[in-house]
Amino acid sequence: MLLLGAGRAQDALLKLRDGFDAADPWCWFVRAGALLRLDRYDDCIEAAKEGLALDGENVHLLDALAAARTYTSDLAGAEEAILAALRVDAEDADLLTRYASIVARAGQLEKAEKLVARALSIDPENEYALQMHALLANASGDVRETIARSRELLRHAPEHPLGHRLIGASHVERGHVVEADDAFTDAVRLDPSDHETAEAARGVRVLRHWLLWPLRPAMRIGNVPLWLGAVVTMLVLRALQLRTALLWFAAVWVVYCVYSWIAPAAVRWLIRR
Amino acid sequence: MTDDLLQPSVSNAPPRVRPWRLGSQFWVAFLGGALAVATIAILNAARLRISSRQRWLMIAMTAVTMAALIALWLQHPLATDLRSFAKTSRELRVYGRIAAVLLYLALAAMQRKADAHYQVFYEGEYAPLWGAGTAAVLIGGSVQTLVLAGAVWLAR
Repeated sequence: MLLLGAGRAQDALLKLRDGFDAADPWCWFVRAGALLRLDRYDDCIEAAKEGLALDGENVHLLDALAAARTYTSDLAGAEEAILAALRVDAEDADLLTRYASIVARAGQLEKAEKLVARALSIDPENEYALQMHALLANASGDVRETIARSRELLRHAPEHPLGHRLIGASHVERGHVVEADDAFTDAVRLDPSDHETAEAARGVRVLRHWLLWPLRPAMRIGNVPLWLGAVVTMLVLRALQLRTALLWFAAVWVVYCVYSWIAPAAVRWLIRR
Repeated sequence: MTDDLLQPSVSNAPPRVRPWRLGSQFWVAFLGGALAVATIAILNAARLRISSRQRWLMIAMTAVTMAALIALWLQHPLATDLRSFAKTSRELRVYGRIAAVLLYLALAAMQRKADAHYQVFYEGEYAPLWGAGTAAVLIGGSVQTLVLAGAVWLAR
């Protein structure tokens, strides 16, 4: 169990082999948990089912079963397992959050929000619930809420890499390059094994390069307002018959667009050199 | 005690087809025009499991854009008959591009929420837009030209 907690799932499996008691559901749970962490979902499901054959109301096994089924895209099956667990203990914040993650994956974000709210009302410091709370905001595209909820998560668990990653991603959305870079640096430092975050961090590092400095206002304002502004300006200049101004503006606009497409790739190449 | 929240509500959906990136769709708009980007956007909306009501809204927005473009072409002095149509001014093409980009911005905004959901819960693996995009640009662009030409011909 301790090995599992320390993240050494493979070692846990090996250690389990000596002294495995097929009649003890707890052994099956440790096995299922280790397999889950190793992404061996089908094996995890089998192990969970073996354990449940001995003790059908074991919430830990049901939770592991639900998790594994979620990742094999059997959302209906996952729901079945987690609801069985909730029938045993409806006041467990972790189980409620697991259910929230299942329905969220199915696109039912409102229901997921309610489940997480209930989980947090039972246990306001539950890291899993706070994490899902932030992810839900991120999934619905609400930048401000994502940052607020991520800060809440970090208040309770300052070393949580997801909190920093979500804040970093949100800052990127808003064009705050420096804050994004700081947040992503923290996220990578806290979980160096997460390749996606490392990739995103590298991307943000690129944005800080001095060659991309002219693009910062564009990142702050956002693509939509920028394009609308440019189109409106050009139409106004045309209506006012200011041909030279229009040509100059159009030329600058085209150069700016081309620069915004070429420069990031160029910087990435420069950095790699 | 029945608890509404703890009732089953999930059913298994068919496996997801990878959607396209929202940013890549810009090129389809810029190079292929309004019809091209609308086709890609609406197909992508299906991939993102966006409701059919929203997809109808996207179709409606495309129709409005095309109507606006047709109106613009008809009232332009150059589009008097098919021969001068062929010598369309650069100006009309610029308007076409602007309209396509604005339509793209609107359609992308409608896909944003579903796209964010996909990124969070499905690890955001996208399909490349090269094949479908190029087809959309070539076919959509041609169809759009035909539609506009047809409108001009019918009006005269």
